[in-house]
Amino acid sequence: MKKVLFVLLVITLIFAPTAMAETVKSNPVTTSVGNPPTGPTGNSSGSDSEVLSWDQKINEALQVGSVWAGYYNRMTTPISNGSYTTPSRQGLDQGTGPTGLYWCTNSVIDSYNLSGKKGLGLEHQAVVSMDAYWQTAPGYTYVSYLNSSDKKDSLSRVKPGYAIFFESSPGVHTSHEHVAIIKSININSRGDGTIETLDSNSSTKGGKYPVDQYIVKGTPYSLVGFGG
Amino acid sequence: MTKYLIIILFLVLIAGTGFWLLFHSNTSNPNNFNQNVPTYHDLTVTSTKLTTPQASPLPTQTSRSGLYQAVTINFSRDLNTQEKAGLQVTVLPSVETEKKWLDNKTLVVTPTEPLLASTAYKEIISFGSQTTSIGFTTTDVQSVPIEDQVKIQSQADKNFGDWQLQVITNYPWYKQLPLQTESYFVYFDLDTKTLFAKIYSNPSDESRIIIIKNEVSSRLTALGVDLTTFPIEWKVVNP
Repeated sequence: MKKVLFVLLVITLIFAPTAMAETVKSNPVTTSVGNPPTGPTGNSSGSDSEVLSWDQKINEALQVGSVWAGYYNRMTTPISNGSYTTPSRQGLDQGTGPTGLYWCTNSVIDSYNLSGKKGLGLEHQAVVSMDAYWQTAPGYTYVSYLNSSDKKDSLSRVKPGYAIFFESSPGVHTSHEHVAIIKSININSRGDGTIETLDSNSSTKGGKYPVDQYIVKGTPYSLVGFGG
Repeated sequence: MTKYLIIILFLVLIAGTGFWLLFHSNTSNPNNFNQNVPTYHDLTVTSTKLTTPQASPLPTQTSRSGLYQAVTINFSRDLNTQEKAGLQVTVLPSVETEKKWLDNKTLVVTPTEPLLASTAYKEIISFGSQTTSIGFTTTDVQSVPIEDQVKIQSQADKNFGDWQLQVITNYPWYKQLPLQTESYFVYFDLDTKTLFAKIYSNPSDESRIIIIKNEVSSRLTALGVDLTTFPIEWKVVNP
């Protein structure tokens, strides 16, 4: 019996203080913290055909960058109209500095500025921001397509040199947007045809979209509108 | 004998109390990694603040938040691994976020996808029975900081390029289409994976229709289109 008592006493002496010590540790403490080559025609009228001419020049100069394999986002050939010159983008990183990428929006900004149509700048490098600007900017024409009840009328107003806007969620930045310049638009009297685009920072330098009875097909996201 | 029994009972009682206290105190020990449910004892949020975005100011930029507004949360003490894991950060409207611990008591929560423009957001930090929140309103769509635009467009261009690459890889002949003449129009619908061919002809002119169908089929085959995989859906349209 004495041995049993001794063992119990030893256990008590070992564990009880340990438990008490752990309890003491948990006291609450709160702290208060308070001149380069000239343009295609030398003319800076801002016309749609001028925009397209400049964009074709840009498109030809695009090269594959090293950030994403096979993407045409390297633009190191300065193209100038004498007063505006394309920025150099080496396609080495994802920035917008000299070592960065030549975005899809950059070819639109540059071709419009080169044509003499001013207003677009680096603050329009996201497609949704560019699209929003286009819809209200003086001197710019916007043709709505997604919300248009007359697709035939919308497409009849679009010309080569216009920007074409694709957005997965119109007006919302989702990183599923794209813009390109229209190279050609050929639609017959039945509403069938093709829209061809010039693209930058993509895996090809151009896109092709069939048009079936004035409905543009084969777009990755909704075709929201066109800008000229 | 009775005296011994009383002593034994007394000692058993003390030992039992000791064991209970030991177990109980372990669950409130922030350094104990073996526990299942952290109690966040002594823990409070000492501050929440909007991490200043390193954005170039735009002419139209307001004091509103950018579309990748980060929030820094400071806690009163270091959190252990389980406490960190059990901490809940909810952003309303919902958005995917990345949680990064600068140290064991400083958490930075950053959206991994762009927030909605011109929208009031609320970020709620919950742990144990405590809840703290911070609110902010994002900038309008035309005043998005350039750095945010770069992030957005970087991903957007990659997504679009990947899509184009996928189309070309899956359908190498896609860019050779549509086929269009005065007599027909043929295109491939990426949504339905179907070849559509419209023949502009009087439906009763069967011999002409057969000639056109043969011409279209032969042109598509020459482009490398496998017409057994992608059969043509014909439609005759009366001019």
